[in-house]
Amino acid sequence: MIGKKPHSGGPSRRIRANVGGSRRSLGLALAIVAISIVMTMVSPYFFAAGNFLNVARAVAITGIVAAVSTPMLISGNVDLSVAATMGLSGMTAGALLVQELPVPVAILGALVVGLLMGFVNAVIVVKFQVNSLIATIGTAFIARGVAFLVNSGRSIFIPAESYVNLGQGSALGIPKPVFYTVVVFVLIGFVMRYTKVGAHIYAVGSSPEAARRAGISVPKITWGVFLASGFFSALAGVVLTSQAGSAFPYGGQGRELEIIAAVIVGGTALTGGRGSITGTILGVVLLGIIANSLNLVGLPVPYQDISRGLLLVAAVATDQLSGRTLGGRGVFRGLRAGTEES
Amino acid sequence: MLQVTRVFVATVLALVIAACGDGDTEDAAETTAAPTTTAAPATTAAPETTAAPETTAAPAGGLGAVIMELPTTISNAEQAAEATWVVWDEDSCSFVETDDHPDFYQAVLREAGDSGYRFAWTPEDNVFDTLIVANESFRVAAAASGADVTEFDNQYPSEEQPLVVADLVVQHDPDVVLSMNVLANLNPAIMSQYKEACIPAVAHSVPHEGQPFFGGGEWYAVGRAQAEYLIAVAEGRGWTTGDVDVLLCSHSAFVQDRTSPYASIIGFREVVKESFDVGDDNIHELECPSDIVTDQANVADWLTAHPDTQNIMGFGINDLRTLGMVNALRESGRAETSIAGGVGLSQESVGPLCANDPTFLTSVDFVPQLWGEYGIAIAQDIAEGNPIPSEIYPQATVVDAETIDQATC
Repeated sequence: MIGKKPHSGGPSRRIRANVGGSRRSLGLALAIVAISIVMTMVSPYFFAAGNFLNVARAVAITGIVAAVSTPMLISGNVDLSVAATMGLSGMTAGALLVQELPVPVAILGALVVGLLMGFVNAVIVVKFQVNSLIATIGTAFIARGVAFLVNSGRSIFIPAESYVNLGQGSALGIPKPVFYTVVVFVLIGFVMRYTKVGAHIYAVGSSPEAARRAGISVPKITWGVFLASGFFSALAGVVLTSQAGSAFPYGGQGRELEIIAAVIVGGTALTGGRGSITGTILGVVLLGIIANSLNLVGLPVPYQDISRGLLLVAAVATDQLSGRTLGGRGVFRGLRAGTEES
Repeated sequence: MLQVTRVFVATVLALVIAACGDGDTEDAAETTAAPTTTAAPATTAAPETTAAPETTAAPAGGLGAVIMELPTTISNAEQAAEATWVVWDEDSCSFVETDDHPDFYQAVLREAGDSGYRFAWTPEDNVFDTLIVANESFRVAAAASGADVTEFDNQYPSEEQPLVVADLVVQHDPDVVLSMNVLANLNPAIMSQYKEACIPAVAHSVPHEGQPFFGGGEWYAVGRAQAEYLIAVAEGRGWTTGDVDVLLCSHSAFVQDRTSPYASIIGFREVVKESFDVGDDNIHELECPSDIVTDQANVADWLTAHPDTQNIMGFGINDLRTLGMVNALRESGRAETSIAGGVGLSQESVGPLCANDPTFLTSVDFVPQLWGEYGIAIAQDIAEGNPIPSEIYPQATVVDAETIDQATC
């Protein structure tokens, strides 16, 4: 699987995507540096290790799901059930812990629930040919409803100290959730950059028909990205509940848009076929630094929303101006022209 | 893959059937889709904390013996003297002020007897922690008293369902409706429907002019009570005004006036200024959207920007927000120099209070487990033509590690 030449035209597409992605990444890095310089002048507390750790802790959970949402979007799909999966898996872990089951069992239960969500999404998208945008909106509602049923709508205070210790506190001076996020980014980055699977994801997102002719199994890739999305969203749910010390049925609510915004700001095309993990990391960090900066200077939250919105629009507009338009592929495929894949 | 599809469809069907099965176990007396009627299996016991005085005689008017007496905030002579009292006037289909009232008000739940009264309860929803408890209390109280109470779910945050519910209630034609619609902009339309149908309506949680108000919690008083509690702790630790910063965790989504939960922030702020002489510069209101981890991140950023802060007194508009705040204080190594209180006595505060957490010291019990008892008792008074105060609040209780019911731990 590793380092071999893929069957399809994936590598050339990946190389082209990486060139474009490098330009975007450079732009994002410069934006981060510019904001950092301004903030260092504005707030004496910005340029400090403790503050950067604050930012890292704040974006850790978003980062985990953004990492797995990158191949999802590159493959031409989108998963809007990630936040609901976080809530459901967190409630699952909480419910199992309240039953005094061992922590590994609770975590395993949460991850299995995540995989199940990925499985259901994949079945709907691959077998029933439902557009992933629509399918995952539907399953998000279902997952959120089930999350409420787990404990009759009530939250669960996590009784297991060893579980809470997974998300709270630091190791080597770094907040623990940051370690999980780094591992997930490295893992997915490696798959996307160095494996045949990664090349196939780019190829499928770029042109499913061409990928199919090149011998790539489009359904298998779609299954893979949805199962991974469910699994890592559940992992994020575990980190969320361990960090919070409490599981709540609406855990993660609203984060799906924040996650997709970070991925798109990072240069991944909503149309599929283009994007990079490096870009997503920078997108997540940029949004995190903006939120942190506005908190440090005491600006109200509405300004954070405005900043995110402007940044998102600017990122997509930049794509449009550079000629990479929304061409009716990716998640818009089924919405515009009916399902194309068989 | 056909097999997978079959399994999926079978699973969905099984879930649907299971859900229907659960519904069948409800003790609903009516089969109307939206409402759930909770009249009466006599086997359900009343909560232990509200045992009935057995010797109390049955009042006149068709109602039976007293089941329980519930203290209200407006229950002593001093408060009652200041309060406006109202009585339902059938001729004008409205509540009118009256001077003919007792010295104090106590909600008294009575057996339904042969009164034949029908009541409607329209909760905000059936999923929020507090509402789940409150709705159950209506079922328990209805069962204990034999009252005919029908529940209509407003399905918050739906903006349509409260209006649909109002239509359904009018069709149902109860003797009294307890209307818990928290979307204040819809209340004029809802209340005018009830007036047109000549149904006495009690506004719950959000006041509406012309209607008696049964507050789930008196937010303003709650904020004041929590401030007084934390100030006492601060003074006990030798903190002085100059070395204390106050952190308030709220959310811009709340209407910033006395009718919303934001009133607790107003009350808290007033007391720390009046009683502890904390200046505005040392009172900081943070945005906490109620996702514990985001609340934590926002508080952590604030702490970073204020490294010289010595002691922190924190208050969250509910327990979730307070827990996020406390997590941030703990992560920043300030747990020992901070104290915090929440609201709601939900799981987020029960855990820390039971564990005698050094920072999360207190919450407020709104007794939603007794809202049904209160609500039905008030409805019985209205139906009987008895005067009631225009504002009624259950007695909320400040709870800490010493006073928390250990059974909940």
